Amino acid sequence: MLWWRAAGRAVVALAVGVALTGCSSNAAAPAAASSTGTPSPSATISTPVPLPVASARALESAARSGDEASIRRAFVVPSGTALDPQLADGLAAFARFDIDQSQFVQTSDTTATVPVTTVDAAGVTRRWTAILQLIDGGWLIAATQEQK
Amino acid sequence: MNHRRGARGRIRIRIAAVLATVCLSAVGSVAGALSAPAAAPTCPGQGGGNTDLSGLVKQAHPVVLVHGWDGSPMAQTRSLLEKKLPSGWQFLLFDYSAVHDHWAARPEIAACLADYLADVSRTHQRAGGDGRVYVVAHSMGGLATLYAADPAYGGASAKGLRLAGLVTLDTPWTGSAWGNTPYSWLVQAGSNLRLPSVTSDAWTCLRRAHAGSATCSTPRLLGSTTAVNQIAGDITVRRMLFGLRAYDLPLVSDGIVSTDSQTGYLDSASGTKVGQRVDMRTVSCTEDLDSLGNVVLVGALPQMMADGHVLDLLNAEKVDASLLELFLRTQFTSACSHLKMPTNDSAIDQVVAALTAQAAARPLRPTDLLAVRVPADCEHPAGRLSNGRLPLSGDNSGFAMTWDATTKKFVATPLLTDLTGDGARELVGVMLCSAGGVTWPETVLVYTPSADGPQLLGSVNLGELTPHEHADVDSLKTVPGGVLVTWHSYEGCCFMRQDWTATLRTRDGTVALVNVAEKAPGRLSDTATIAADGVGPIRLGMTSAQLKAHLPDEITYNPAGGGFCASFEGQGLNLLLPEQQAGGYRLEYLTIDPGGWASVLKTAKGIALGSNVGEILSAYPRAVHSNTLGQGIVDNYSVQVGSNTLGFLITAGKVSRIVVATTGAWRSEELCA
Repeated sequence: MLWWRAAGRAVVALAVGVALTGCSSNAAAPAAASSTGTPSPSATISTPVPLPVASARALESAARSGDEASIRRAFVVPSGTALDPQLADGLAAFARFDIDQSQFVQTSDTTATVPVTTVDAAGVTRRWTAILQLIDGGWLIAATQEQK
Repeated sequence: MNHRRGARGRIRIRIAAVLATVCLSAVGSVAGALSAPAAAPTCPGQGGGNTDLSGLVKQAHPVVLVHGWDGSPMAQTRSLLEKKLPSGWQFLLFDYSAVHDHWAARPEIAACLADYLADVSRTHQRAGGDGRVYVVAHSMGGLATLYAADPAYGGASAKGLRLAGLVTLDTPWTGSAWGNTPYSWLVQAGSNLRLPSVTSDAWTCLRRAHAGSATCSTPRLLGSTTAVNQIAGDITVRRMLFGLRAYDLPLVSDGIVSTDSQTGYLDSASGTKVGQRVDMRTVSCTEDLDSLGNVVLVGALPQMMADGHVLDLLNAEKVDASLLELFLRTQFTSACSHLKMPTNDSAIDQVVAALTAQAAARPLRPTDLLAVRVPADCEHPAGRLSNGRLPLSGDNSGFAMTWDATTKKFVATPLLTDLTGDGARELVGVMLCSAGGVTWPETVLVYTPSADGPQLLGSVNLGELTPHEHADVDSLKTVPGGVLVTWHSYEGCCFMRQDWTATLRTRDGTVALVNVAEKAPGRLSDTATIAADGVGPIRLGMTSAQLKAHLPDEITYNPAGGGFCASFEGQGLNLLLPEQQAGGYRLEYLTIDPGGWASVLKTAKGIALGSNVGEILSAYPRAVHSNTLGQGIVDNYSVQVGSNTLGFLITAGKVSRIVVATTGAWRSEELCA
């Protein structure tokens, strides 16, 4: 069990470091945070699952449908959770909503990332990383992070 | 869901797990089956961590700030409080950071905190203050305060601790779902941290509320005179998609402790909940996922994206890595997270409001008894008095009152005294109530001051202690250890009277009359006073057994027989006990004649055998003159008092016999034949 103790000590050392900076009752938030960190593509993937172009277009369509039921088929949303009433209209109001399927990267057996570009009604362009999750054999959008 | 992870994924989880454990060390549970303090511990804060008390002044309320298990003294919180409460308060730091990794029940924390609080109280009193101490505690500090106030853990200093109020921030009163999880165990693998052993009760008890452990001993609730305000952090994560609000994920937690646990004081400890003054407030924060993502530790794990899974965990009060990371991320970003609550501006405002309310309790006055809330009594519902009387609906006959508007007197003279030992005086009063045409045994009421005015601490109905139809309080008197209550119980108008004493005390937040004892019967002597209802300790209505206890041996007892009453005779006294309709024999007629030491007995107004008519009429101007008594011609004067009569038989212008009798017996033509 030497590996375990060694790993444990390493973990504790890390923990102490973070704890000393951020885990005091009167401490401020840690000054340095790591990058938002798209999960590494080097993670072991036993079953590659691609994102076909048709699937990407279907996601785009569902997302912009303005219909809550369709949105729930495009995004990972907990069942029984009420969606914000403005979400469907907000997504439908995008002038552009493009999933760059060619940059799709599977990061684990159940996760992947793909770039998305949106242009709102005012013409403002924003670029996002969508984090996808594999649900019932299909990729759904689980979260988004804006690329700064 | 695929649960395989790469090496990096494992490390992420471990980092999160260890962080959780480290942060969890800032919390605890309500319980720890640790033994009571044995010897005086070495208190780590005495070396300088605790605030010096030499600056305490009379005009300011002392407030002790108690940090959490892993925290450091709450200096930043103190600074914020001092800005909001610049006068009238003095904030002091209690420091146990040197033993922060010990369980709060241990003497180096609980007993040392009790010592410090007692020291603060004494010093404040020496400065002329009331010695009442307030505590603001974060996380584990709340539990430490509870242990400190329990003599089983706080030691001698806990006894008589004048704890006026406790304000808690994020205290895990009923534990945390994180306790005793694999994540908290992980840190022990190579631990150089001084956390409690994974085999200790601390970890077990951290999950007490969830695991239902029977081994976790608990401290007692604070006394009901200590106000407790619980302030809870409540985080909601707002999920954003492409910059748009998608849905809210309420964590119902500060990231470490559930809001239920943070407000679970009453369920956290043993002792009565009756009369507890408890308040709870919530500081809510909403954090969107984008802002959380800005400080994400190691990237977005797939698990945390499955919010449905997270919701399932929350509902089931379970934890796993997905919830762990989500919670940990909120610690550093959410303003109402477990770590940030002590410096959260809204939370500080809540602390200020709580302290202000706790200190607003004004001293009680006897006249408060005119408008207090009273408990249900003699079939009348509980309610608030108006001018000392309970307003009753038409269906309720009778009354319930502490004040008799006719005589303009309280039912019993109220008493103000510090019954609980917290430095504030309680108000003790008596309520008389009537239902069904008769008065019922009286009830002793105890009120304690609070910000909302007099608060009923407890009550005792004398009918529960003595068996008679009536029980009337004679006096309330402060004695060491409580209030001496003196009362008498009796049947009907005036029969079977017995006199009682007992000591009113508060114990474990309840009010009780203890050491109930019948007053030792006094013996009749030549110094006794004649009254309409008896002579000295002798009272009309007494049984022969009761009379024997009060009469000297030279006054002999004659049992009933041959159609005659039972009687006592001797030393000029003659006591007649006719048979009662309900059975038994009771004193109804007593005479005092010349011959024997009883012949010197006098009324309270000085009338005795040999007094003349002028003296009688001077002492009793309303005395009624008659030439007949029963069937005979007897010159007499009589004074009726209630249902009794004091009579003077006249021979040659002077009193030749004094009679004390029920009016029925006085007028009877054939009492004992």
